[in-house]
Amino acid sequence: MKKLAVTLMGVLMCVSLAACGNSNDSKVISGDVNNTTVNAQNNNVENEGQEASGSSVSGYVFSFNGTDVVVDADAEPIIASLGEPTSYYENPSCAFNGLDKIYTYSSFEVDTYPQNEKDLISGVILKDDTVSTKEGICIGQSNQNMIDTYGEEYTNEDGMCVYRKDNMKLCFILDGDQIVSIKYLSTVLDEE
Amino acid sequence: MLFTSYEFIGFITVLFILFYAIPKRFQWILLLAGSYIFYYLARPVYVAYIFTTTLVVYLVALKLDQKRAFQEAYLKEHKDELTKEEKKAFKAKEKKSRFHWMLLGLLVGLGILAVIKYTNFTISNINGILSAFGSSATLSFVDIVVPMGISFYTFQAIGYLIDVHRGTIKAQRNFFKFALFVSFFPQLVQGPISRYQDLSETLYKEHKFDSKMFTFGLERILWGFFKKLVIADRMLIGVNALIKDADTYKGAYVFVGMLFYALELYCDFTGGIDITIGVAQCLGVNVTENFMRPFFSKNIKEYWNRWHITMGSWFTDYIFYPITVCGPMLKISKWSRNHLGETIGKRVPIYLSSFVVWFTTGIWHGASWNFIVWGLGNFVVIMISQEFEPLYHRFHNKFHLENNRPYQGFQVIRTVLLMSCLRTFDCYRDVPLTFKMFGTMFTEGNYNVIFDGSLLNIGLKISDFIILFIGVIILFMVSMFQRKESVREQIYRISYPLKVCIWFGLFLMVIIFGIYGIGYDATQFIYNQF
Amino acid sequence: MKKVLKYVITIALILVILFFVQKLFMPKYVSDVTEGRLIAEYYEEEMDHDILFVGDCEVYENFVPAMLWTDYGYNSYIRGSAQQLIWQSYYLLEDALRYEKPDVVIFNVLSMKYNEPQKEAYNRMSIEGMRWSKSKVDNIYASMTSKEHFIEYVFPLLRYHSRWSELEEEDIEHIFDTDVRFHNGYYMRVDAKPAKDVPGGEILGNYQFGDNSYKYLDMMTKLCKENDIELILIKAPSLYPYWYPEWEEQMEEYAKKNDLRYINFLELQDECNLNWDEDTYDAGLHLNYYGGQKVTKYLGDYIKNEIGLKSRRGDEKLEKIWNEKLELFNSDLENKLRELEGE
Repeated sequence: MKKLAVTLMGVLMCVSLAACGNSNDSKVISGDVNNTTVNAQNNNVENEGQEASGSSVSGYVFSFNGTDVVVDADAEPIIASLGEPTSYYENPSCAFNGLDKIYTYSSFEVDTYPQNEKDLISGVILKDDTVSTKEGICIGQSNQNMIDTYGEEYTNEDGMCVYRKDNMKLCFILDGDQIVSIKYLSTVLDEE
Repeated sequence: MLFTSYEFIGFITVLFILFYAIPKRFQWILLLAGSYIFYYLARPVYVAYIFTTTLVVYLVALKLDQKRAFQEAYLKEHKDELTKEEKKAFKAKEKKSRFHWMLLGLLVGLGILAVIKYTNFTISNINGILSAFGSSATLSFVDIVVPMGISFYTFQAIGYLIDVHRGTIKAQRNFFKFALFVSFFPQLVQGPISRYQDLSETLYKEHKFDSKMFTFGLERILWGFFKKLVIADRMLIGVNALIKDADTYKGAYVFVGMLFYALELYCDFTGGIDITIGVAQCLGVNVTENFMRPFFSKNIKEYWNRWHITMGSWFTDYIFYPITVCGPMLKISKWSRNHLGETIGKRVPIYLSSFVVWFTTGIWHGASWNFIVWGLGNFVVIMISQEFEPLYHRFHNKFHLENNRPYQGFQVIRTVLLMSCLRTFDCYRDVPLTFKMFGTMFTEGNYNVIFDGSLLNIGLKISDFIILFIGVIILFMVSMFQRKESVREQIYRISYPLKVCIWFGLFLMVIIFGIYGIGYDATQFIYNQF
Repeated sequence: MKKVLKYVITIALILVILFFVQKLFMPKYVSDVTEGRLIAEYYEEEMDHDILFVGDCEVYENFVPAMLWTDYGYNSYIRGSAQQLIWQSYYLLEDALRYEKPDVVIFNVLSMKYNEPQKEAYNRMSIEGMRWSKSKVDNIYASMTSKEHFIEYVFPLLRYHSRWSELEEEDIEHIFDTDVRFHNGYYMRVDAKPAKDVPGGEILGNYQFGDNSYKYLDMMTKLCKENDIELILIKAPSLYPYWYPEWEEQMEEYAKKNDLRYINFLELQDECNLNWDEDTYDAGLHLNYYGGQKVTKYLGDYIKNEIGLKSRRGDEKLEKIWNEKLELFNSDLENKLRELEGE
């Protein structure tokens, strides 16, 4: 009986003593109610990226002349700092209020979608090889360049190589071995 | 399958109909099948886990019973031949052997639990230690599926095993009946942790349809839905907004978040338990109550006797008592009395046992330092209040506060605040951040935001606050009515039209004001994972 | 007996209340997003149409049934809704065939580009107005996004309950409203916004229409053949969303293979005399009434000359119906023109 208790205690203590790390380093543990509690099947580990969401930068980001064009961010300051677009088009949503907007610049295009009276960035599409991703990939480079830079963990979606990070995806379209299109896309609009 | 999903409502509807349509002797078999289907639908692989634990504990318990029977038979047979010493030695040998068998059961049950729930926590801590020593090497995390409610069914099975070992109950011989005890679906998700002797009384019985009981069950389910969908999930929107952006929401926001979270947790957890007990009641099964209006407690100790009752009593019976009376502890106790004097000496074993209990309580709630610190926080508060008890007593006597209403009110509010403070460890990312955020409550000085409309930025509109306010008033009133007698009994006696109005009114409130569906993304019950 | 009556009355009362509450909470699509009423209006028709259009906004904003009647004597109706997906068009056609058998069905092929369910809001607008039938059930299952539940279509209160804090006077006023607002499914606009800087198509990873899209196109073809209906595939002249040559090729090939007529209005802009400065109200996505007239004329001529569909002018019953409709149409047109001038 007594030994039972000792053993029981032993088992539990073993588990916990093994876990005697420095609490400063245990930031893998998310305190977000949703995360610690909702996804029983997810390990806490996955929540590391969670800190990044919200106001700060998340996912892969396209940068032009020092301006970060962040997917799902408020478009207004970004568009202002990118300067005059070469062309601009408004695409009203069918039936509903609100416009999707397309800002075309010399070598890339920025698309927005409306949410809560603001326009948020829905995507960035690179058009030629004068611009490249922050990680240095541009149109015209090879499949291997892409893999060397972004790794092999991409999925093939609708003919595109898609790297998902946080709530966005970075998509490459290849023609044979050559990259012909690069898009940064929000996943918010994928299915509503 | 969440309790608050269409699937679950469909599932129990079909089950209720079948349950009373089939011959009564098959009812428990239907429950077993239903429970396994429930578990299978959540994720097929879960079944393997629960089945393993069930099988091992079942076999070990049978073995223990067999061995006990053998011992008795042997002693009876050889009553006259054996000397007293020989009998004693035989008993000791048998006891040891039984102990080893039980140990096997415990190791398998707790082992599965430990590996599944704590492997990645352990790895993250080892990585922490490694990097603290300047090593860049890291262990990679393991992808493990944590089965739904594993802590609950494991504890339930282990409690049963220990009881069989202690001889307080007889082992269940029918494997399938035992499997039903472990897997009974309403309590599989988030407890309560039932004792075999309690649950088995009604679980295997043949049940005739009893319209009163059935109505009571449905009322309880509806009430659970109200607490969960109308109050808890609405508060959760605010809580999540507040803790997600800790940089912005400091000071007064932390205070608001703390109170919101305390209430949210209460409504979420007790709402879930209401649904559990209600569903069981519709099936004629009595499940132990898990809460007794905890927010009316006057001190923390009382609070813990009224909150998550089955867990508290489980820890007391299967951890606290065994530890206090185990050999090493007795030795420590003796040693400390001799060396540290009576006053301190007699406290050492209690402190040590309590420490272990609260440590395990913490880690049982989740594999993270937040929960451990939360558990130990409770330990500290309880020990302090225990130490100050004589002082309190004198204070109360001197100012005649024993039955003073306002003072009791103060005690209740103090306890609620204290518990809410401790609960902030659930919220923030890690322990240091929690302390930091907690500190801002006293340094930020921005309490005007509570009144100036800033709280309308956390995802809740004025109308939501109104609903919350009304919801809490209803909650409070129900609690007050409960003091006298079960509210459902009281409703049972009133006139039919009024009764229907109450039911339908509550139903409409859930349907209209509940946070569910496309407009809102449903969240799961917080206690699922513990 | 008395007890039974008690329960029956209780249940009846509860159901009535729930019915009212549900009606109250459902969107009325009156002052805003009126397109949500398009689908339901069909059931108030005298179902004896010669031509039925199915498709998305590229049909209900581009073709004018009133003109097909006045100029050609064709009684036509548009079963279209915003972003109507191909399976929705199919099931709406299937649904319509329960009531009538038109001679010609016209399907706009833009929705071939969507192989999967898209947006819940559009699903609602396209499905909710349908009467209950097997077609509606199938339509729901084909259209649901991952977050939707069938039961929320059966009891829309479960979907719209979150509107409790947004209810307006309009919701009470129009709780049982059945005002006809469209003209045989046509959505009329008279304002204009020139099409400028219309973006070309971005590069896609895959230009092949999906299997699911083709499955429903096949089903539609089969359904029409079985019912002896002339199915005409069209691509409306809208400049945006971009219609890729690769898509065009697939449609041409499909039409050829299945012996169907296919009209691409994008290639007929000159013949139709379309002027993109005046004939569109949203810079090239949709045509206004003026553009619609031009395209409708081409279509009417085509049906008359190529298919030889007979005019039904002189049919007393139809004349009477259309006289009323035209009156409504013209007054609506006048109102809109006056509004435009007032601006």
